[in-house]
Amino acid sequence: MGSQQLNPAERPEATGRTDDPSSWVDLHGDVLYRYAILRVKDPGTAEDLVQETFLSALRAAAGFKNESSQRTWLIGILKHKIVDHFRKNTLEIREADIAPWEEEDDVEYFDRRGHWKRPVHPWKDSPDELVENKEFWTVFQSCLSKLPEAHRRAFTLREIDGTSSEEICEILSVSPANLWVMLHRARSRLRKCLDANWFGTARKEVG
Amino acid sequence: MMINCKESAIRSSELRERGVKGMRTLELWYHLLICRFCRTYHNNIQMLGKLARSMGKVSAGSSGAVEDAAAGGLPEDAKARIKRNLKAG
Repeated sequence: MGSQQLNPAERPEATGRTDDPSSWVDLHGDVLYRYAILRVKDPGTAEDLVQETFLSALRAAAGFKNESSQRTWLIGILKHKIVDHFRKNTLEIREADIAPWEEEDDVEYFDRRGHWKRPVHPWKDSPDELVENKEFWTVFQSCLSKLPEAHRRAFTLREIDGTSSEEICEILSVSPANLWVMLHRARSRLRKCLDANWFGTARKEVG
Repeated sequence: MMINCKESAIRSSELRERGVKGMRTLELWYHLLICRFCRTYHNNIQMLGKLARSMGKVSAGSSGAVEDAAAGGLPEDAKARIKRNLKAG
């Protein structure tokens, strides 16, 4: 039965469900690709992970139960593929990656007694409004992409996906102490980048 | 009892992971009480976490500002290749 004969609420584009695997690509390919590229950055790797996801889904299609939407099911498979990709492609953690502060930031932010050299400005935008703001996310994603790979992986797994610290240590093959430093560095860098390119811009416009 | 701002920033981040315990917590909260800039830094880090979590939730969905901001979709040649591979099984 073609989708034209279905009640609009039952059409694949509405339910996110179709039993024809080749139509999965058109229905879910873009969403899966964006999900992947946010986490792995490299377009070629993201494409490969999406393809592996569809192929795994095809093999497991008989086991798919209607407990979740087809898209949620596919994203679940993709999540595992991304984690496997991180496990297989472990990064060499350099000494500089786990120093509490980047030398440049250390000098820029703090005086010799470890106190702020200049004011730290509050972020006045409401998080609920920012979630709906496309321009903000463009800046956020750009800031995220500038982080060193190891810090970006740690931040993405911990803060974006909510993975436990224990699991991240196992995935990235790092000690808890090194993970905490990497996360601190990622947060500090992201805060600086967002402050310069988003929140600071708003301050300049007001001021 | 006193820690400096550099240490306070590290502990603000640490607090999100494992909870800073005992004396380390007291030192952090005391410092945040008296240092406006560290309090602001701490709040910025909390907000960053909240935004990142929203990003995770939205990017797993089908639409929204996060998705619109993401660079394009799956390229057409990749779609064609994946379809061929799916047909081949």
